[in-house]
Amino acid sequence: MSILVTGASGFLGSHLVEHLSVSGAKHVRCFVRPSSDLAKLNELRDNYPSTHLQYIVGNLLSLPDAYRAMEGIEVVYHLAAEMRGTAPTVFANTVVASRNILDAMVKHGVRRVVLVSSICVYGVANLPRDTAVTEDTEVETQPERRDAYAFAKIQQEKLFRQYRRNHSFDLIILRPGVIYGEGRTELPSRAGLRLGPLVLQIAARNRLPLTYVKNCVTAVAMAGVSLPEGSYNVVDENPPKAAEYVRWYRSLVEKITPVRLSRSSMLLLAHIFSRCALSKGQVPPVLTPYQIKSIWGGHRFSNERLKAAGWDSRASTVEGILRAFQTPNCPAQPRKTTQAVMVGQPSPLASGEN
Amino acid sequence: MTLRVAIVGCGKASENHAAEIKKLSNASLIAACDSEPLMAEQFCLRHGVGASYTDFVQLLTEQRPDIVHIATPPQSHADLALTAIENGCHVMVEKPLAETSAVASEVIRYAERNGCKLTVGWTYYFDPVLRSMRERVAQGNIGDPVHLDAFLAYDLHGRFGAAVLDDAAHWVHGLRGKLVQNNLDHLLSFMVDFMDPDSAVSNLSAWRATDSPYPDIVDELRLTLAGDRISAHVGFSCRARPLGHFFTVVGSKNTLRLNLSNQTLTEDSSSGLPGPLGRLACGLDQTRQLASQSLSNLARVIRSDFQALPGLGYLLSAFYRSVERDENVPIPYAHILRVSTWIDHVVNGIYDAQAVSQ
Repeated sequence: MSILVTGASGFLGSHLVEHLSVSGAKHVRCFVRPSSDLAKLNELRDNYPSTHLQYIVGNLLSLPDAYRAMEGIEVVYHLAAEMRGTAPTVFANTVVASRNILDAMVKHGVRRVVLVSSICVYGVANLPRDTAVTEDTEVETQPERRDAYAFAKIQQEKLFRQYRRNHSFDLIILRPGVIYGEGRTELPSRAGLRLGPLVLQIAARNRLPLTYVKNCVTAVAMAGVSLPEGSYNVVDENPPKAAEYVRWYRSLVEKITPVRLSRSSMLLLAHIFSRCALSKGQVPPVLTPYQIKSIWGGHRFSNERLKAAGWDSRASTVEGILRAFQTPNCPAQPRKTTQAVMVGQPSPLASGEN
Repeated sequence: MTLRVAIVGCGKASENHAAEIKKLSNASLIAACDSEPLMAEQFCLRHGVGASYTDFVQLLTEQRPDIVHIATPPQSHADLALTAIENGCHVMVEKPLAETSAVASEVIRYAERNGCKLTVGWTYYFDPVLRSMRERVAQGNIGDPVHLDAFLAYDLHGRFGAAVLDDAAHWVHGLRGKLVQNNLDHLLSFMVDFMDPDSAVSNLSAWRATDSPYPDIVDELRLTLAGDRISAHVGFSCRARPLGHFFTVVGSKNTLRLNLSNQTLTEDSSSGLPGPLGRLACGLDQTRQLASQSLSNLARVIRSDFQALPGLGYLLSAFYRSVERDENVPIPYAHILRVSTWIDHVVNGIYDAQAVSQ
């Protein structure tokens, strides 16, 4: 089976390539940018000589590059997306790039594509706290009220579904939460917003919708082979509360000073902020009331559909966090819960989120 | 009267334009156009603009805008501006106005012949601190300007630079002067009010110093502008840190130092006190000025007047007013052409030097 991985040199991409190599894939084509750091992929190429790793260096904004990448490919893992930058940049590198991928897929008759999307596509701002967000929950209907990343991911999914209606290929959409793991220990924004040495913790009691990278690549690899068409949330079991995560982070990674702020206080501030139009562009319009309700609304993200399809978390959240933080110090076990209780959507305020 | 405004080019530059247009009470952003339909649609959806186009002429004929903002890559500025003017629109063109001064001159002449107004996106030209500096120079606070120094420390791996590095087809690679040509307006536009009209570029040094995968991208530039009464030095660097944008006017009495990134303007002057007392007094005076500037900037934050590009809003407001009242445009055409000519000299100098070295 010929495989193409876009975003192959990225955090999730390099873990996926490793997973595919370990699983015995013979040929994996990696689409990378001219400025991509190839150290991890080169290491994998050395470690797994039985897997032929091929690099296609280009830019997905170029349709000829997308065509070149797609020649002879049967399955595409589309991971490439832009997480930072201005809204047009994020959109172009996520959605326009996807359109080129889709056109190239259609031209070359690719039979299956796995789109790595995000849980941020759901429209949860007006859902009550503790609502279970399943794959049947409505996708955001007001994307323009969301941040640039969420806007782009919503439009990206829409585009994929539109192409799927008009062409014959299998489409599997995966929606991970906050992806973390070895090599990515940044504090996610849903856990705390960095303000210099301070970390502003909004709704510290909310549980984080975390996705350990190795659990995530298991799902992504499965999607390329056996998952039925459709969309799937990819979130770990028993996620910790934001406060717990910050406490572990503080003790194992970096000394930070958390400052707690309740969601309602933050909402009040955001309302005042938007009513007075105090900012007028001085501060990026990320912390709007709608955004706060979307990100820190205290919703739970269900992984039941993926589990029913045979996915199982290889590592528990605690194991994953420990491995990610790469320290022998073991934090206290998080309180066990009977179900995953998760919160919100990713925001461009912090890195490390999908 | 509400001015009907359209924008062509829905990439990064359009965001700043849209944000400032939406603040103006006498204007309404009615349509957007981009050759990539997805980009036009996303712009309209996010900014609440009603009409999305991929065909510029169709936009002009169907929407009949009063003013068109051209925020496309520089290679298309001139053609789009001429088309807009032909359709009776006033135009606000992102910098650089055109790829060469000859083409810039042609566009300006065409606008004048057709009774349309034109301005160029010199984002920093009307920055509040730069306006304040000009006022102080005009009031004679520093005596006669004798030397100018402008410096831009640029992040080649930042939001814009990274896009250039990642994409061999990025329009910056298609400019003869590449990255430098796209940034020189931000430096040379500072000089144009002070330099003699016949000042010329001299002592040009340009080289590639960082790890760009594109050997033809010059990322360090130093040049001198020499006039009869005043000289100027210009520096562009992708290695200098911290990132920033600085301008100094050295006068025959005092010197003004402007930090555009921090929005501070200070004046160096002699204390008149002897020896160590004088040196101490000068340092204290600098501290007083910076403290005063910081308080003043805090007041601007409270007044919602401390945006990243405060000069752009002023420029648009002044340009729209010139359209409404049929007044002079905020940036004299002679200034635009002089800067364009200087850029020609720099680009030709870089190009010739590279040709020689190869």
